[in-house]
Amino acid sequence: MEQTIKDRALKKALTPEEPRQLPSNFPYLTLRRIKEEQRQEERRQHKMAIVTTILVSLAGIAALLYMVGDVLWKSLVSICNQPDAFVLVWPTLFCLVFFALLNHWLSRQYKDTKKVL
Amino acid sequence: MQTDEKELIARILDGHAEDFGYFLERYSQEAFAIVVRLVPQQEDAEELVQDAFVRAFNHLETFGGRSSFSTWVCRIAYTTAISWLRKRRMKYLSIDDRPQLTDTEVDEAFDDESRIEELRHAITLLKPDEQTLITLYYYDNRPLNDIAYILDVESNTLATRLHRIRRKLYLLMKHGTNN
Repeated sequence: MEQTIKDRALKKALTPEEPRQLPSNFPYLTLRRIKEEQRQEERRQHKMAIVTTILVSLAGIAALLYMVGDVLWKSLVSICNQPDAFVLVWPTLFCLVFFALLNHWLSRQYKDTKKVL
Repeated sequence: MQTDEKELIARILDGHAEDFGYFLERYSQEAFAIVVRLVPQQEDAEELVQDAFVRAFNHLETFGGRSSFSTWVCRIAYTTAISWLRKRRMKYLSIDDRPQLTDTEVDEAFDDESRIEELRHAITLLKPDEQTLITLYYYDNRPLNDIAYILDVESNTLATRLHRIRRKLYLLMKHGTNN
C-alpha cells in the first residue's frame, strides 16, 4: 500500500498531542505487585493443603470407625483392663515431643537455607 | 524472539521472578501506548497495563514464541483494555458507511493537513478496535501479521477492515463538519 507517501494528515492526527509516559517506577511497582500476588497464592495453597489434609484425615478416621469401630473399642477396653496397660505412655509421649522438636528444628534449617539461596 | 529473552523466560519460570523486570523495562511503554489511546485517563491506563503484565507473568508458560514477546504482551494489554471498556459499557457512534464514496475523495481528505483537527475528533468516535487498528497500521507501522495477532483477527480481513474504517472516518469528519 502507498500509505507511506499519502495519508499525511491521518498520520499527524494519530500522533499524540502530548506524549504520554508511564512513571519511571512502573517496573518496580509491577514487580512488587507480582511478588505480593505470588506470596498470597503460596499462602492460599498452604491453607488449601492444610484443609485438604484435615478433611482427608477425618474422612479416613470416619471410614475406619465405621468399618472396624466395634472391634477397636473392644480391644481398647480389654487393654485398659490389664494391670500393665499404661507402661508405654511415658516413652510414647517422650518420642512424640522429641519428633515435634526435631520437625521444628528441621523446618527452621530449611527456611534458612532457602533464604541463603 | 532473541535467545536472551528465551533464557530469561526459562529463568523466570524456574522461580526468578525478578528477571521479569527486563520485560517490564523494555515493553511496558509499548503496551501503554496502545492502552492509553483506548483509555485516556492516565491512572486507569497505568493500572490496565499493570494488570496486563501481571497476567502475562502468570501465563508466561503459555507463551510459545509464536510471536515476539512485545506483540504477545501488546495483545494481552489490548484485550485487558477492551474488557475494561466493555464492563463500562461505553457507547460508540455507529455510522452507515454504505453511501457512494470514491476512494479519491477519502484519500484527499486524509492528505489535507488543514483537516487534522477534524480527523482527530473523528478518530475519537471510532470503536476501540478500529482506533487500535489504524494506530497500529498508520502510526506504529506494524506488520499486518502482528496487528492480526494483537487484535485476534484473521490477517486476510485487515485490508478490508482498514478500507471500511477509512470510509467511516471520512463520513465521521463530514458528519462533524455538518453538525
